[in-house]
Amino acid sequence: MKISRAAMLVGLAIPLASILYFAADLVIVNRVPDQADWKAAAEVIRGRWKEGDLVVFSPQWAQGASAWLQGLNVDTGENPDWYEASRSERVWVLASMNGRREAPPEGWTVIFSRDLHKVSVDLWKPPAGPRPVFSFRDHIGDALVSRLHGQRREICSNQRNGRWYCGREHPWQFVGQDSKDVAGRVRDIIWAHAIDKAVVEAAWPAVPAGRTLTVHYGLTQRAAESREGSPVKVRILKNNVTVFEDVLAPDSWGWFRKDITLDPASTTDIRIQISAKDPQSRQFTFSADVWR
Amino acid sequence: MANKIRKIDILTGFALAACYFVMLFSTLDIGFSRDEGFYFRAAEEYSRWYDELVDNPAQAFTKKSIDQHFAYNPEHPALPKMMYGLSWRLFGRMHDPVSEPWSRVWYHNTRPPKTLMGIMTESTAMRLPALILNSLLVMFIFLFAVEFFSRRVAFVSSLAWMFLPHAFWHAHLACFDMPVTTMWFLVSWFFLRATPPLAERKACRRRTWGLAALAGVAWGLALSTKHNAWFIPVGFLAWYLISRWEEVLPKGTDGRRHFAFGNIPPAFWMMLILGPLVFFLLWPKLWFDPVGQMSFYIGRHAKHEYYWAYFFGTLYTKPPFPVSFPFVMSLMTIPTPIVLLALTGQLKTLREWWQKRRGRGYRIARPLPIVYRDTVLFIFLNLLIPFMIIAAPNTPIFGGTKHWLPGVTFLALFAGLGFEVVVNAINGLGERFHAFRSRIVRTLIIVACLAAIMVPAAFDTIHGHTNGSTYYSATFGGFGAMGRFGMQREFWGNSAFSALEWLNANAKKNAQVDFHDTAWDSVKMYWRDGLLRRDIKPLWDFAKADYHLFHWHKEFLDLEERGRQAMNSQVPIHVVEQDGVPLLNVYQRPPRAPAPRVLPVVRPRGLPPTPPTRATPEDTATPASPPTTRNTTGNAGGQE
Repeated sequence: MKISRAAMLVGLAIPLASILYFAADLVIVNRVPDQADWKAAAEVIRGRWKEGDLVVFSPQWAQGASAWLQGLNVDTGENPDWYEASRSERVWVLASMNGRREAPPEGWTVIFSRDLHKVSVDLWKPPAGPRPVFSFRDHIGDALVSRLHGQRREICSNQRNGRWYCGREHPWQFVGQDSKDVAGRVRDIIWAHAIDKAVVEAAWPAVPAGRTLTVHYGLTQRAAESREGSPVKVRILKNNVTVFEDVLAPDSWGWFRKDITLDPASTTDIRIQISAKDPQSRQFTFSADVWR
Repeated sequence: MANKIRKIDILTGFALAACYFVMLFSTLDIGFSRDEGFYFRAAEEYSRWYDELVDNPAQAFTKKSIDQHFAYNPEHPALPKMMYGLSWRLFGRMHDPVSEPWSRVWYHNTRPPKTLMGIMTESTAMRLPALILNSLLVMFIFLFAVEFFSRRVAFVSSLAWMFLPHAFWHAHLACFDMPVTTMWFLVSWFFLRATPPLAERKACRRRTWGLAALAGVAWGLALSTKHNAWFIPVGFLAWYLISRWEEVLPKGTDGRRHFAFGNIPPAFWMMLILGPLVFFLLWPKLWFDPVGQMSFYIGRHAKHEYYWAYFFGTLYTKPPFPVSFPFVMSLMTIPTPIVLLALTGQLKTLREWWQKRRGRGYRIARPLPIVYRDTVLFIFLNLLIPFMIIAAPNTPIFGGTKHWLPGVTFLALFAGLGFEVVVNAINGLGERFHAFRSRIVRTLIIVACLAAIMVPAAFDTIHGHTNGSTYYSATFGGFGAMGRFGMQREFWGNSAFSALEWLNANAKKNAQVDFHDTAWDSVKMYWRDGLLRRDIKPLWDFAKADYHLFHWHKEFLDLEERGRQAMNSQVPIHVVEQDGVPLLNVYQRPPRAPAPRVLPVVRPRGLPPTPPTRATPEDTATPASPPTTRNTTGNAGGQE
């Protein structure tokens, strides 16, 4: 009996596919930059560097050039965060491999571009419009942190190293500056772990005038993966009026964004309240910026 | 009847094994993973028992001696570590405590043993037994396939196994995962040889019992290697109950089935008797407290902590783990040509089985060269079981691929069968086209096709072999898949190896280095092998370190941030990367500003200036600030 045409096609497809695979293999390996490529890219960046610039990578994980960028402001997060990058005046994108085809989100404009052997260096400017004028994290000292036990308010008055404690220093019961892995990268955040039978409140009574308040919030990677405790409720109050509420499930994974319109002519009182029935591993984090 | 293994087959198998050994031996630039460091230490401590065995044999077999020498790492059987220790003592080049007194602290009880042959570095000597055993696996695969399939299937299966990057990487280590893979395969081979159909068994009773005894001993050795081996009989039993149940439940003359005790294959009996016996004999910790040690052993592995695994951007920290993990990871970490061959082999055997079952076996143009009808089921079950163990949602998965490698050897056999489909296609060309009628032409095309399949796999295996445990196939973007898909990168602490050269060249004298995930015993071996400058001081505290080696694991990213802040260094000074993906970042503490020559004096407002409390000769020589009054020491600057 003759071998069927289909069987022949299957049999011959395997070596053919293998040849294609090998070609892909060689392309992938050969497009990887070496130290000379990274060094050349770093020299280009250093040559036009200005205070307030930031270097990011494309793809963001391809950070082999870091060693050549000592002393510069480099984003070494695991994944890109264009919101964070847009706080900088200018952003250098050091692209390699398949990242050379990627571009920042819409609205960014390229002001300089240099193609090198296996890398490319592009200087981007964030979209024109509002600029950040006030960071809650940077102004953690201005915050009024308290715990609400029903009608009773417990003021947290012990501030150490950018963290507010209600009483003695505690490894996780505080509201303050920290850096945590949240939704795919380490972020500079305000830590506000939910606590038992109370609402944690962080208030900024005189947030400067601006167009928009951008709040990001989410559970840490550890909290989301642990799937412990109960849902976390977050409430944002503007001048004592609730303007936003959300509930994060125990395995909620994400860095969620909420934009709140501010009064452009006067200061605003902003309060952020966090609560959970079972606060086990409810590592709530947030950041907030005023844009004008 | 199984195919007869001839001398030429043994020679070919041995040649393939020798090639693999050369490949392994010439690519030993692979760092010491955490577990390997622990086994180095265990091997060294166990090897002291040999001294006692030689000096005072009666004492060596006492409980005191066993407890003393085998106290460390009691959660794993002793055999591999005893072999590594023996090889180290025989072949390792030890440091001389007299000419190199500093080297004492690198050894157990600060007593380096005397060099015997001294023909290789200490780590290589430790690894040697694993290198040999893992090379022999190639021969076993070849001979298995010769016996139950064909020489061509055997050759392709062996090559398919040789060119698996993850298996190749693990094959270098003085660990247990590859040795137990070899032992699993060996037991399976002996078992299958010892369990032909009943008529054949009855015809060659002596041979059957001999092979059954070998299967029993091999299982004992497997049990003495790693606990995976306890699962080996599961597949054998399942296979026997599915395919040979009629042997033990034959129809009597009355037409009714009865249980035929005597038909149970001898291999089962031998495994039942010899397996535990060999296991007991080869683990000294069992000799004096078998119940206590076994309770500890079972309890330790039944309640093993969960190692976190990063899989498609999700860090799995506790059950349920994804059932797909071993299957998807294998798809991504086995070169695609081998995957294609293996899948084709599986589909082809399945199709043949289905056609035969439906009575259409005559329609198979070129049947696969399989000796027994149920051989394929046997290799399929042995392939499946190691995968299923890890796929179970509550099994700790450790992030790597090593725990189901015993199944991958059987996947290689399917790859060998899959190549028959390629060969059939080429023969089909000969049937249809005149240009391909010549046997030489077809042979050349077959060789070219084999090369087309194996060369990429070989390239993948050798390229980046130092970080072979982080390999992902080009179909998923190569090593870049780690970053692109959010997958496990570094294995466990071995990447420090690639930073040693930089550290040796750049670290200041007596630098303190936080080695992060690299175990202390691994660092000691780096010293002993001369891979790390001996003045470099390891510590595991980035708050005090001059350098911090951050091993890229998802679960450590918070720690990296703390390390950066503690070191006051935001950007790594050196990055160990594989094909553009960072595996390890070296952070350097910026040099501290020199201390001021004169300590600043803060004076309360309104008080008259006071003289400095202390002055050095250099201060007195500075014309800009000549001392005008007597200082407290009274002997510099002013006049008495």
